[in-house]
Amino acid sequence: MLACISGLLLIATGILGAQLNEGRYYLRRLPDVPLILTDGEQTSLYRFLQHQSILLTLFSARCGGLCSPYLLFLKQALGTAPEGFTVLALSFDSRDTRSDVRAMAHRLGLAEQPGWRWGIIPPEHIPRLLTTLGYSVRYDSARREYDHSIVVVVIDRRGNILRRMEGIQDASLLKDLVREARGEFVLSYPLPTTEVALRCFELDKETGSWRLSWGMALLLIPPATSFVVAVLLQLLLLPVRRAKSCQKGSAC
Amino acid sequence: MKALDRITAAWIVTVLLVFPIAILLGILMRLNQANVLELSSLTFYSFMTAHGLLMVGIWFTMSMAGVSYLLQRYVEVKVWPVTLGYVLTLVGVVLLLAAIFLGDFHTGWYFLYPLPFYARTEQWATTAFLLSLGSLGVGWTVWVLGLLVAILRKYSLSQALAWQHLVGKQEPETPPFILITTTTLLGLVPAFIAAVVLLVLFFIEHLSGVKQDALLMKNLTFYFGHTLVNEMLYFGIATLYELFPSFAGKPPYKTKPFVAAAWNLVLLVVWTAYFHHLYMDFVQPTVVQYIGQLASWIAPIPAVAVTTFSVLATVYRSGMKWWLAPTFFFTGVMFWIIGGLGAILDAIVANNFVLHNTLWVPGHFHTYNLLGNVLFSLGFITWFVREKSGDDSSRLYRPVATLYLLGGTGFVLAFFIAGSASVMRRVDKYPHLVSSGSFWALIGAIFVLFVLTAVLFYVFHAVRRCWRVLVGSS
Repeated sequence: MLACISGLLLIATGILGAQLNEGRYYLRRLPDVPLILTDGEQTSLYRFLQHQSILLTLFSARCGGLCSPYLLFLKQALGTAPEGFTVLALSFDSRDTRSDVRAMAHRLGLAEQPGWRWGIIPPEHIPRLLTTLGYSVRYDSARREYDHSIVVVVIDRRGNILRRMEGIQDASLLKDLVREARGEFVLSYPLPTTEVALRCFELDKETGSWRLSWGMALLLIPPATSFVVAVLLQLLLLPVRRAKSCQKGSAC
Repeated sequence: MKALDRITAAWIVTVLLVFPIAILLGILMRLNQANVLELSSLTFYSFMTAHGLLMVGIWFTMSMAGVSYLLQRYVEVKVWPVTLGYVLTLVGVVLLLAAIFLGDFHTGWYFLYPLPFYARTEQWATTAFLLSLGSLGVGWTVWVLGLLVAILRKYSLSQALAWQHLVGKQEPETPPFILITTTTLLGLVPAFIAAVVLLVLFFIEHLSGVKQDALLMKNLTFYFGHTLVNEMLYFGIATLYELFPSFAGKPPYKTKPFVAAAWNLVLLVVWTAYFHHLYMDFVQPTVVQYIGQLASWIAPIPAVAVTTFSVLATVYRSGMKWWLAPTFFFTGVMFWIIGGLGAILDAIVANNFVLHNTLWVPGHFHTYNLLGNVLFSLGFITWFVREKSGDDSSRLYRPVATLYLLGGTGFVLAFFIAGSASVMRRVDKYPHLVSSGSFWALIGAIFVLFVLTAVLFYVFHAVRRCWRVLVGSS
């Protein structure tokens, strides 16, 4: 229960805090940490990135809280790794061994998932990686578990953070994250709500259809008013022009 | 000494004193991007806001002051709208600078919604900024209407727009200066009304918390801002049409049918050109995006073509004696073409997706402002100084023209080259992926130091002489 509550609090904090400040992680370069993958391969982050961009997520194999639901959420949202990407799930828990991580991947049904790789980081390199990622971790000695963020980070082949999404969010947002990292233009615009005074569009939530609204009509005020002002000045100053014309001796 | 002389001199003194300060803010920003200085992000964006708004403000008002002065050649110009414009502009600028430097207001010069509610440290800075916008808006609207009334007291609307010349009639004659000034003033009225609507919506949210529609606010912001910047160039062109032939010893320009057609076309489409700022706003109706692209071509091209042809024809075999004023006007037109071309390239939808968030954009707007519009106003000021003091600035000619044009060219080239390399704009520091931006920032800063040197020489020269006009001792 405590784990659930603290997890929820962390999600809320994540969404309201770090999530809103996602921009500050943009293009931050990750350190080239050594990786020990569950299939026995020993490499480094940069060597791993030579062949693909990655969706990086962190977990602890001993976590009784959010790690498993979050990895299952990623499994459901992503399925196999998107083309051109590898999902790299790394343990941030220095106590985890390769076999702990492998066991967890099997338990979640993700050990054989195409495009997914699992591994650990030598303990002395973990803090550097977590700091760069802005990943918050606090050890709870009573539970002997970590309170931690849940996050997926898009990393390009140079090791730069392109996007960072914290917490369990709508699966479509995760797909947009990948599309955006590929350089696609992902549309986003706040839907009109009743809190907005004058909207440019009205949306019918039943049918999804939209129509222009009074906000757009407001844009006609400046030219219309200017036309009226010009005509008024033209008419009001007509006697002045006639008087001047008379003074010059033209026919009045 | 006439009151209009004094208020024109007051405008010149004020603008020329603010100009080097605004340049200095720009240099500090480029040095920060070059990693020579370390400004905090807040300071950088405050400088960016002050630099942009001051530059647009001073050169818009200076171009209108020049037109107000020259307008008295044709119609009776009342001084009070110009004076009211001056006083309310000063009030607006003081409020604006207080908001920026005391309240950390740092929205950038576009002040796009909803930034004015967030990009500041002190909450009162939003109020001060909105009041500043109100003061500037009222002052400039009254000034514009004052000039419009002055014209329409003599010319009917159709005459002022030279419609009789469109159908080949010679009489009554409408000078090009009246035609261009009228189309510009008529173009500015809706821009200012858009600003009023925008301001009302900002105040509604500020006072009641009721949210506004971001798309509507962006449309209104550019309706006002883009049109204002466009029209201030046309004021400069009006000044050029009035003064340039006399420098070559030629008779004043006449309004030919193609000149009348070009400027009426400008009036018709100029207020729809701003749509090119909203290409990225995919929720904007598609038809509007097409209108934006077409208007971006139609609004400047006829005016540029007609003006360039007129200026080149004037200079050709004229035996013109070059001094600072005609040099400013001539080079201003040439750089207007270059900057305009850069702008038109960016206003094409396909290009815009690549260029719009890069330094290409400051490249083109600095070209037609620093090397176009500002030169038109400096041309007017140089002519005004000669009229009032008899000094044709001959000692300044070579050093000022050389330093300003060389420095200005290098400065804008640094923007264009970096923009072509996809270096993004509006950032205080460049990430390592586009670290070439820092190199070009340094190059830009070095070149703009030449401009600053030229400006300081020029300011010292012109302000002293205009001050004498202002205090009535000339």
